[in-house]
Amino acid sequence: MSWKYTLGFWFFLSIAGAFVYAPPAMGLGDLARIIFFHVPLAWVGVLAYLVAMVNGVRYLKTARPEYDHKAAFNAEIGLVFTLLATVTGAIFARHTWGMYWNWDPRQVSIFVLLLIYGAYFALRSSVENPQRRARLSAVYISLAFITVPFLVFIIPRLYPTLHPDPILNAERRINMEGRMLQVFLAFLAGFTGLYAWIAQLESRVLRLRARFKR
Amino acid sequence: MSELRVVLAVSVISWGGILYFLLRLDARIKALERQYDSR
Amino acid sequence: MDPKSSASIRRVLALVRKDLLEEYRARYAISTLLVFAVTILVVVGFAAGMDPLPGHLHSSFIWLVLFFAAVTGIDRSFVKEEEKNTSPTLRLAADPDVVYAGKLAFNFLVLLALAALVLPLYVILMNPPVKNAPLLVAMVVAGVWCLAVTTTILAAIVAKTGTRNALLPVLSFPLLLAVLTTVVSGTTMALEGAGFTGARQELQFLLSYSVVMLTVSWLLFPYVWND
Repeated sequence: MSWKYTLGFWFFLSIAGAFVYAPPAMGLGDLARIIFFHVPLAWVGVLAYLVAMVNGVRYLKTARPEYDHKAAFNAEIGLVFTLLATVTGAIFARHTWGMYWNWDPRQVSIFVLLLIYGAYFALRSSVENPQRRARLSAVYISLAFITVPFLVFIIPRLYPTLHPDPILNAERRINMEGRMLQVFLAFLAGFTGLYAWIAQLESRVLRLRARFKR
Repeated sequence: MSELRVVLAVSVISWGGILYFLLRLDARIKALERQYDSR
Repeated sequence: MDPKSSASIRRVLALVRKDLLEEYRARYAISTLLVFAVTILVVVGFAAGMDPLPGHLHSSFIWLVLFFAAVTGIDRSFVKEEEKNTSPTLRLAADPDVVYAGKLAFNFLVLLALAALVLPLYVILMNPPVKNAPLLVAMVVAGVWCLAVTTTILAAIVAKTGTRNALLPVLSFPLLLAVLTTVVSGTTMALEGAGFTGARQELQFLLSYSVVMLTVSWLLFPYVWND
């Protein structure tokens, strides 16, 4: 219970920091403040996918239904965060590059992630039997996972990117002003905490439901 | 100033989405509570 | 070769022969795939008109036709076993490995046949400049092989779901995006006259993709098949 309030306080400080403490930077002016929201959203989207995949594999190994439920709700959380990252990214793109969507490699990557989530839920909704649904969707999410390295290899070769440098760029130097970096890391930690909290709530709901069924 | 407005819009969208998700979760928990009460 | 593995090879061949015989009698897969492919081809042809197109558009169209034709019909290989209730017997008669290998071989043969019909038709109808025909053939075979490897396990998944239509394209597109972009750029090279050394990276990419996909599919297939 108490870490809910810690999380709230942490976000209060981070948001204040995002608008007051961190300087406008990187030749983007105040627009640079978008990264405080956008990058952690994308990070949680990917993290939730990973957790969903791991739970899928655990389901295949143990056939215990709670792993399937975990995989499903992680995919759900991941879908929401990925959608938000896509929308915030498109807004950023509109105001820096002039278009909402221009098939930048990062946009293609996140689009593929959205497609995988979409296909995962389409598959889940078309199977009635719970065990069968669990098994098929676990197989699918694992299959999708192994194509990710290939996409990471192929997508950057398609088009040049306009996307700002990742936090750790090719020269392995942190290319961000000190105060901005502090706020950014605070947001990253905050959003990861938010994800953990949501995941914990979801598993509590699951546990309650299982108890009612008995 | 318009740049700040964009950032504000982005943060509102982010929090709105997450809030929506949390509210749905809340509704699910409430349904469970009702189920518990009715037993 | 030890007797056990040669026995399973014989089983795989028997399964392929059974599927080919059924296909020869009903001509379901190839006719659906082919009619679908020709439909897209005609639509593309009308859209493009008589203007000469650049090479990358030609290769995009070729793979558009092949991809959509493949994902509309290839799930038949498993769906028909479920519909005719032959899959329990097949499950008793053969190991999952054997079934997987047999279905993969059959799907690959069907897609090869499709490509062998569609590609000349495309060349006749659309007049793409083909400067390096052997590389074009190699690209199409490699791409079709990757399509077959990816769609075989997905077709097995689709056959186990309740709604059996329109799910395969949805499931296969995100997994095949890397393959499609690579094979399109490789086909463009073949049309524009690059040599095998120029397209080596593309061929290596397709090979490594199919090896990884094959291994993982082979590991995961029993979970889909044994139900």
